[in-house]
Amino acid sequence: MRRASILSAHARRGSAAVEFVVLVPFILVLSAAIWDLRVFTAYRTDVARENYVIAELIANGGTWTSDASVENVIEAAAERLGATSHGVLHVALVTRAAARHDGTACVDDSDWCAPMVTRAFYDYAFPGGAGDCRNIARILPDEGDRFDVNATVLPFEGADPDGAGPDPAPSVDQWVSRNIQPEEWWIVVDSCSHFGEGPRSRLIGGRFMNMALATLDVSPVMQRRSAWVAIDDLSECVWC
Amino acid sequence: MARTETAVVYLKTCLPTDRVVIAHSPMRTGQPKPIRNRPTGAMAVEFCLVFLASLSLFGLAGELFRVSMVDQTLARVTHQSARAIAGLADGDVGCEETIQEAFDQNVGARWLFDRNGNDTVDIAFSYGDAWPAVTLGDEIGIAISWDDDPEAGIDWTDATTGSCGGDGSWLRLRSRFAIQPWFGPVRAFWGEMHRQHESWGRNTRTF
Repeated sequence: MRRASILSAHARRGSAAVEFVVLVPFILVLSAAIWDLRVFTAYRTDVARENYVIAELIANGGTWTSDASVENVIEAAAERLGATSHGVLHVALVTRAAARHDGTACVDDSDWCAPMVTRAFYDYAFPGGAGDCRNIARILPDEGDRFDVNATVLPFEGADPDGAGPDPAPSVDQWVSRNIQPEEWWIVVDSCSHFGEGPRSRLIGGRFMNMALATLDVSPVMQRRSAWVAIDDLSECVWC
Repeated sequence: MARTETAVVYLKTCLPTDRVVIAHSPMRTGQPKPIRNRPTGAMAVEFCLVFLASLSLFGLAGELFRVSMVDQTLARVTHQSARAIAGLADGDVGCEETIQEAFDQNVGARWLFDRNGNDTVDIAFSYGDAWPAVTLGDEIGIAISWDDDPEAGIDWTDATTGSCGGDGSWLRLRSRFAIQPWFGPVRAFWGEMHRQHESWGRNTRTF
């Protein structure tokens, strides 16, 4: 005996078309999301990579004869990163401070002494603007100020390399505000970039991507810090 | 059973329990037509439609994955090339040779860019500010230029054939690869695409 079907014959007849129409948009949206995540990941990698190049480039430019070279390099870097995002660049020349935080003068080279910002090149906005980075406070000290004792600024390069250091000693490669030699100088580059808001964001989802990132608690605003030690002594640097 | 030719098949895994297909042997001639509760051929049509749609979408996803791999590999190797030149201390090694070595030593680059299978990435070098011109007949195009004097502004106009710049100059590499999608519908839609990347390095010796 033929049993009654819940679905009518008419409804069953259209199942292939229904499946096609319902599934395809989901798969297309999923493909777009995967592509956007790929672009986002590639951008993060690129920013991290180029951040170091900028620091290295300026740190190796001790023979430049004026600040103009440093400023031009920072502007070119901002233009490069600004092709796909909004944001801002900060560059600091870091040397040894003359005194510790407690006021003790750094006379002996082996004394623990915090690094300080000797020259500051701050607030270089990308050509398209700073984006949401304008709402984020710069975390590099002002020119002439020391880094905080536990600030992450320079990599610790092994056990007790330059005399006394923080107690307890940090692990190798942990970034700390460590002792710094009188002739040593570093370039620290802080970049803040607001991804997905640039002139060529390459995102399929556009603003939808920002919503998705916010939902996943992943911010499209990225902050990166790179530090590079100079190959020349501080006394040999012309523009420093 | 009185009628051994008749079999009743319950397709419990494919159909709801109230939908039963009764299959009759061809020998039961003269009997009423078997009851069918699906329109003729609907399963085949559905299978074909879903199969083709899935195939197209998987093809599209595969192409996106391939383009992604090309993008990331090109970015990484271009960066490695610039870094290799920047850190080069051996005065006997040339600029182009260093870039060639960086590409050849990267397994991913050889796999993706070595179109003619000669175990090396054939690089067409050009010198100047423009992006290198490449077609599907080429493997990789690289344009080299540098800036000798950042104080006067960054313009990337310094270029001499066979050279990567002088000591202290700021080097720029621009690499480009032409990619053609393999999957027919995607190829028809996109045709030839160019993927490109640029990277910097600071020369520590004169080439």
